[in-house]
Amino acid sequence: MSALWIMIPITVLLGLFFLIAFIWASRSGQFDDLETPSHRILIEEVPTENNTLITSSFSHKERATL
Amino acid sequence: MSASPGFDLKLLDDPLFRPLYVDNGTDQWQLQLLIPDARCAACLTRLENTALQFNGVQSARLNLGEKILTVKGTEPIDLAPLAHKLTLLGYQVTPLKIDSTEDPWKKTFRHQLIKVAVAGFCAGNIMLLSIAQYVGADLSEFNLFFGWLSFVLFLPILFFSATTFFYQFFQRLKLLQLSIDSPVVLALVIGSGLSLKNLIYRSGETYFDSLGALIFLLLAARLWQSALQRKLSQPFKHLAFLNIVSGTKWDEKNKKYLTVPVNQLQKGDQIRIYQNERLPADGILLNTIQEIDASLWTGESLPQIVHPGELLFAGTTVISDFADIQITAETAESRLSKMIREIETKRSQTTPYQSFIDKVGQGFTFIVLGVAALFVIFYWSTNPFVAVERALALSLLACPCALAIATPLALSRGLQWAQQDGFIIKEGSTLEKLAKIKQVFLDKTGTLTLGQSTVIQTIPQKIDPQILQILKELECRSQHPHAKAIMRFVNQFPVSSEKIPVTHWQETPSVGVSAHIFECNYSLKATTPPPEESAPSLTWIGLFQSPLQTMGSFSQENLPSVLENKDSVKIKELLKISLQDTVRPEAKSIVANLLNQGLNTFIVTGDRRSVAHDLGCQLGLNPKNIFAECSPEQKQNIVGQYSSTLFVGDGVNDTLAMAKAQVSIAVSGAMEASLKVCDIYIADPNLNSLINILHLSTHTMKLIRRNFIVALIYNLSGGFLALSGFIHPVLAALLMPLSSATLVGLTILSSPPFLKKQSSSANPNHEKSRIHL
Repeated sequence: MSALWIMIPITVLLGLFFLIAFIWASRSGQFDDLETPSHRILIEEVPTENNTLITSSFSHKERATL
Repeated sequence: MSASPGFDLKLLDDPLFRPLYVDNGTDQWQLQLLIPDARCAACLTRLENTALQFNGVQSARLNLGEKILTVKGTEPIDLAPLAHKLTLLGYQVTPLKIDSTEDPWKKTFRHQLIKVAVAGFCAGNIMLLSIAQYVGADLSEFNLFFGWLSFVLFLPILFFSATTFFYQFFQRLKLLQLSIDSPVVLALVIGSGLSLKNLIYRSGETYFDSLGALIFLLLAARLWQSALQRKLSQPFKHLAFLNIVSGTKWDEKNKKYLTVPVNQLQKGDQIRIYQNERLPADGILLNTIQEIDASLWTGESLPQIVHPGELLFAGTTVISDFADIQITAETAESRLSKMIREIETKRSQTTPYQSFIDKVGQGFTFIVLGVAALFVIFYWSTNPFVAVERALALSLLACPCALAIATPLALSRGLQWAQQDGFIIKEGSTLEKLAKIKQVFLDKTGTLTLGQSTVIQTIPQKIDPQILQILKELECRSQHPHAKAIMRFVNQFPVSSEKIPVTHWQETPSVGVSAHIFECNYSLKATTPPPEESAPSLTWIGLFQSPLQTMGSFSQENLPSVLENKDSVKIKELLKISLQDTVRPEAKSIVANLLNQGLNTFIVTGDRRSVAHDLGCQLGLNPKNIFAECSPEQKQNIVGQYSSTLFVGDGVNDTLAMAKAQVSIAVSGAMEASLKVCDIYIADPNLNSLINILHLSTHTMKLIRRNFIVALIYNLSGGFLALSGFIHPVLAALLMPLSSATLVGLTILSSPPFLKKQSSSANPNHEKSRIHL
């Protein structure tokens, strides 16, 4: 049972890591739009000329908010 | 930001307008376009790809929730072709003005989301630690560690997530009100204090797990309600009170007319308003006698005559060719803007509404505190320590937290049901206010009636095809509401497409139209009603024929003559047409239903007294309850004399009264300003929704009351257990989540109200709602 002394702090820290990730995601506005992503996932990404244009034309900052 | 339907997209590249719409950042420009019809994945790809095909566009992203397409790029390019291309796809595109202030809701939403996440994380972990203890694991060596870890995990809940409740509690306390937040705050303070004390002295219970779960569920339920309300009121956000973007201004220097943004119009400027355009500012008429549509102000749909020198208010529509206006008050200072500011300040000053659940919270707080105090007094002599301990446990366990969680859910359910049935309720509390309504005020024009004239009958009933053709030729060029009504009437019949020569067509304001057809002079103008007809709401128009001065050889035998003018044999009246603003077919049953429900029903209108009384009698209303010839301010005063009022209207002239009433409903086709002010918007052109709304509100309130009774049973048993000293740790930990789960389940699974099905084809003539939702 003494393993709990190590396991429990680790679980809390692990959870904390994901909480911080969530807070970061929320702050950067990733949950502002809860509707579009559910549609966006349905769009098939055929590697056409058009589509490469779409994916390549995002700046790094915008990619982060995808 | 404000949208402006009917915006000429060419103006987007005009040097005067572009800075208003295109945000030039440090290295990137950005344009936001409102596209109300975008709703699926196909729209998404089509719109984004089309925008991306333009050279210079770096990114195009559509937000389907907000219906906004954001286009960005580095090199400045012409944007009008882009916007135009999108309209070619079949979408209505409206550029949004740049607004420096960011949407405050987004910031609050993110903050609340983080609060929920923190509470969820901490409460979940505390729960895991506690469950081990409850199930009886032999953890004696860990008890202290688990206890203090729970305490540490509880701190972010208390000092970060729960701050909302403390803040709202003190806000209400300032107004000497208690709300549902008060028992929550009471439980929080007492619970954490008691638990900390027990932790330090290593005796008794800690309540960190149940308190944490309570805060998490409460915050989550409230966040869901506010997100839903936000989603429902989204279409109204971009509505401007007056959708006028540009004005045509006389430029003295260059001696020509210039199109400028509305905010550049100043007092003293001379502007020109063309046919069917609305005045962007208050001003004095300069050129000639004009026909105007002031229905925005009066509710009277028929044109009025104004003479040069008369003052016209912003929002008035010009019906004649064009009007030259000298501005006396610019847009921001116009009567309309002042009225809107008045409404907005009034709204911000009103005290927060104390809802049913707030009253329950207040009652609970007093009762619990009272019972706890009595218990301490009676039990003091036996054991003062136990007395205080048990009294504190009572105020913790009797907290109606389950009810506090279930109520936002119940209101959200109500909002969803409403949306499915074709009306949009902006806020959950409206459902509750509706259930208390005693007086219903109905506007006449556009609400009880369709707001447009319709041909009721003609004398003679059977009309010669040639006369129909003449009627068509006479009226097709006119913008008068009567002309449009006659056109709708004529188009019902097959008319030969053969062209007939028309010359000398002219329209005289307030008189009518005339033209030369088949070498005769025909005119349409007001006429006397036939002797047997006396309804005041009918307007009679006659078609007159007279030979031209030069020659009158047209074969008159072909045309049936009905009445002959006695003064001059040469002028013949060929036809009498009666017109009326038609009452909605469902109006009578709705009024009857309202009266049946014991609601005091009124008609408040800016229209003539005789017309209003005629309608009131048709609908079976008490003549005392009919107020006619009211200005917007008078309407407001009439509503203000009563309490528990509901106002149903559609025009700008109703907005003051709508803001005054407890609940206001804007009907389909209403003006932008009233949509902005209203609490409920009926998207369905059928007015039967009005009854359904009332039904829905009682249904939702029933649900809330049922929840209240279930919660009461839980709380009474919890309180009894606390006082009797029989608080087993597992029981205390189970009671709170169990009661919450019961109520949440009851709410989510509750059946929607049975609403009357509506026949949407009740009136095919009615225009589609002007605002697309």
